[in-house]
Amino acid sequence: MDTLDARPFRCVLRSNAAGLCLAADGDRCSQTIADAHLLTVRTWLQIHIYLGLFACLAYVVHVPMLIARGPLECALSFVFLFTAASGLYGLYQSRTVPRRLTNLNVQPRYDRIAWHRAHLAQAAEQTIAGLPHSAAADLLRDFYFKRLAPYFESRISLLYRIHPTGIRRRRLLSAISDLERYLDPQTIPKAQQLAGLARQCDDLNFHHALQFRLRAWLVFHATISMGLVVLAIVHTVSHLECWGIDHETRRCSPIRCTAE
Amino acid sequence: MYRTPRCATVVAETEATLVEIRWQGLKLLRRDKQLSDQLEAHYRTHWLRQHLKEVPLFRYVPNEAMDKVVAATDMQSHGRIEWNTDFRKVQKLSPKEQIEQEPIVAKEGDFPTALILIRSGFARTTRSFGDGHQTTAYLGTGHLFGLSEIVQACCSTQPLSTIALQQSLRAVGFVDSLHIPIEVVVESILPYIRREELPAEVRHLTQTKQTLEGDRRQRSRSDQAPRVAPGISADKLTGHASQHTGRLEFLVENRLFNGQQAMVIDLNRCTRCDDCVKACAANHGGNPRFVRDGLKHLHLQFVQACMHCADPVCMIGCPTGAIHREMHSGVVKVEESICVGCGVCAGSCPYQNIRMTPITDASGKLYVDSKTNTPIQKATKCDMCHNLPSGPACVAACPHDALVRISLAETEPLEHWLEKRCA
Repeated sequence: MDTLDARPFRCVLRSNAAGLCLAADGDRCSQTIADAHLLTVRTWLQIHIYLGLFACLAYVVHVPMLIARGPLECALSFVFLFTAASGLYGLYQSRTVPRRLTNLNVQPRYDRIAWHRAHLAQAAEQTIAGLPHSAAADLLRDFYFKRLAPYFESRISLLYRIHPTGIRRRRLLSAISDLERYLDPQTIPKAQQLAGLARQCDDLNFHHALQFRLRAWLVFHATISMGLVVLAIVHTVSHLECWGIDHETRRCSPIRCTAE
Repeated sequence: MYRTPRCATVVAETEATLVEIRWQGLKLLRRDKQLSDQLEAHYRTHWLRQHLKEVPLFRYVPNEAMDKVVAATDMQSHGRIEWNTDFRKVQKLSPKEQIEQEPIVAKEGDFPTALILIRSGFARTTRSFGDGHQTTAYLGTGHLFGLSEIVQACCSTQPLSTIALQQSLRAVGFVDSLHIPIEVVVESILPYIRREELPAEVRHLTQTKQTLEGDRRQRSRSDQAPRVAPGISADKLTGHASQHTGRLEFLVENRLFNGQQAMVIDLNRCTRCDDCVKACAANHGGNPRFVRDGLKHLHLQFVQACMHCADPVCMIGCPTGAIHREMHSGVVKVEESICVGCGVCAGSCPYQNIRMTPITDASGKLYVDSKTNTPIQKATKCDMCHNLPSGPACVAACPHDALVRISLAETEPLEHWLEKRCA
């Protein structure tokens, strides 16, 4: 930020400070706002979004290149761009994820998903326990222990949380469908019951992944925003140090600093 | 007496001694038929005129005509006043069975014999649709039924025998209604109703009838329009309106229309952050008064939080009167110092929106019953954050404007809220 006058950018940073603080600790901050009755959290979020967009515009005007020169300014540029990108990503996600979640049949609370999954695993186990002893039942039992039980009992992988897909669900349902030709009429309903439970489990996993994504984003955005605030303060202070008093005009001016 | 707010203020002109019987006591006294009849007679003598005068449509009816109306009005009750006791059984029935078991106040196809005014409770209007009945609207206190047909019968050139009720009126749970005979309506009420205030579908009929054109002053009469689902014409019910009809049916089947401050979440906006629950917990000593869970219809979730009902059946059995409605705000509150923790209100609430929770002292220590050594429980429910100037904390804390406290007693607020969001 050493190429042009830093004043517009500093103004933006100052005005956006409140907004950035909101992002800095979203959960606790929104709670504080709600407790203090200073407008609604929705209003603050709107202010935050508009200030963020305005800050992006000011950045484009202020910095001639995408990344500013100088180690501090370069770092500040990177952090700003990451924060802005993160903000836009969060805005997009918070507008699209709810619809994707609503389209699912289940609407569990995030903290109850593990409980629901355990419940489904138990139901699947009971279904298998209720099977009679026959060749078809043994086949289904074998399939359950090899394929379904690990699915119900395994933890949701980090990869799935980052990029949830229906591949495993489709494979399992396809395998159950393929298995049905070897089952007798008494066992087929049980297999279909297990398929239903697998579907429900996949819905829960999907819910978990999307809700986790929003929460993880909030933590990331808050952390990086804190970094931005710190760097912006350092940047502002370093520029203020160069300022002096023009004794002729009795005003703060960077000109004297440059002259010296 | 029917769990509706008081409609008049009593002023003592001289020194007077007042005996107030709380309605828990009055409920017991009303089991005596003689007293019950006396109360009805008292109502007819002193309050019926006042009640009818409060109906905006009747405001220009002169006193002498009103005397005839009061004398001819018949009072009827349908369903069970403690409807919450049957509600859980009714909920298990299919929608078709639910409608069929509801008491019919007026039947579709019958000749209209009276104008029906809902005094308290709720009713729904239905029409034959396929092999079942489709809900077209729900009516609450102060709403009229049968006016269109009566005007049609009065003004139409068709023979009277061909004029029939276009819809049935069914009591949902309990309804208390006033029936004004058709001949009294035609003689003493219709001449004093403005043409502009009549239902749209029969307004044109009155243009030729001088008797109905007395008063010409323009004024909006939206407050007397029945709560018809937007998009559904009371005359032309087509399949195009099925989505709105679905919501209407959902609200009636689950009796959510009782809610005056129902918590509704737009799931298409809710990121499931649970900030609403956290805000509620922060305002209530760490114990939230609701969980973000409840009935779901399309993208709307009707959360299990106290709805501060128009007909608060939770108040019926309270032995101490701890659960009461606040005079000014209309909020149904539990006075913790009076609550004995019997759990009757929690059991009575048809929506399971009242929970029994162990109470603690300021330091968070549980109060324990010295005899049984078990924690003392008291009823807890949403109190609309009455101590906060900014209103309910749950609404203020929602960052995405996904949550609203709204009256479902009318369909308009919910429709307007949804329309605003679509726009």
